[in-house]
Amino acid sequence: MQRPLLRMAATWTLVWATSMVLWLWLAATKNLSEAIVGFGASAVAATGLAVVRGKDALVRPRLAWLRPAVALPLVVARDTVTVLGALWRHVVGGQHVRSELALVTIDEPHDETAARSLHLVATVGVSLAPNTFVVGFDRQRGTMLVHQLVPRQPESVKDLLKP
Amino acid sequence: MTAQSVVVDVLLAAGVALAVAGSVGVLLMASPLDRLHYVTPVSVVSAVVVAAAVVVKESFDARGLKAILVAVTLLFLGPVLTQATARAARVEQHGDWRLEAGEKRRGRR
Amino acid sequence: MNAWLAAAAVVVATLLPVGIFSFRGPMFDRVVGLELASVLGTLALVLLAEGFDRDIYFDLAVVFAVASFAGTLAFVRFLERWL
Repeated sequence: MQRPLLRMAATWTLVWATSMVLWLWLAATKNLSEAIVGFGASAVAATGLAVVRGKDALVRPRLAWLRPAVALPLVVARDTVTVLGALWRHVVGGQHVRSELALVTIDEPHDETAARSLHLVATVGVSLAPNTFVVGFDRQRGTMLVHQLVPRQPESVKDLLKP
Repeated sequence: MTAQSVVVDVLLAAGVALAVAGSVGVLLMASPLDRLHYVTPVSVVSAVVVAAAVVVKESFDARGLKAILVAVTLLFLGPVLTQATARAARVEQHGDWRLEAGEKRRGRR
Repeated sequence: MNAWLAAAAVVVATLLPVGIFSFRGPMFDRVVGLELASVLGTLALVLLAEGFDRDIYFDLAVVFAVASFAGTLAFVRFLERWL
């Protein structure tokens, strides 16, 4: 009973401290009364998050899932050129875009929180690149449906995040 | 004309050009799913480039930080909204977002 | 007129055809138009903040980005489930 409460208190303190630092940096003020307002606003934000979160984390991403993010800037740059090229061919050459849906495999964790976290990380990571975005996740089949403007026939999530 | 102002002007021109190109793409594409692909260059690349222009001019003071905050907000919320819209568009079109048995994957939807 | 205001003028001018597009046509095409208009509006506010040298417009841009996301998401969820 005590450990979840301690964890909640630690999360509350971390969120409060981060919000307070952001407030002071964004407000760029040394005024004490404004800092006190920031204190209160940060406390409200931390309390709101604690209430929504409850005893369990809403998301708990694993570090291994974030590793492909290193290649993301290259993937985004490449895909930006790809979609602009498709637009150019459409406008100048009259070539219609032949977009495609694709099912890619994804290793679904058994844990509900981990699965939710993976879906969030995959959605943001994959959909940041203009040529591809995620449509949905099928947990039972371990697949993710994506839409690609210029099809590349991906088979796994790694294929999508390769530069 | 300093090097800083040249860099800022180049970044601004690139950001705005991408915003215009993305808008043209949204207006010209045939289906909602195809149009969605052209929102991303604006919300991701254009936002980052414009934020970079602000940071080059203002450095990491309150203004630079706020511009970064705007770019980060668009970076994280944009893909989530895109996924929600794509899924809803599929549900409206087909009754379910999943591929139907025998549904062609290639095409405008 | 400085480079920031010129950039803002182009972005605001782009909002006009996107806005007209969001008034006509199939529902989800209009939702995509709304999403794009929200992003363009946010960018315009950042550019105007620098162009007019007003800090408050940056705060507006942050709030607008979050509020427009919440509003569009509400539309999308509603359209998916109840219409």
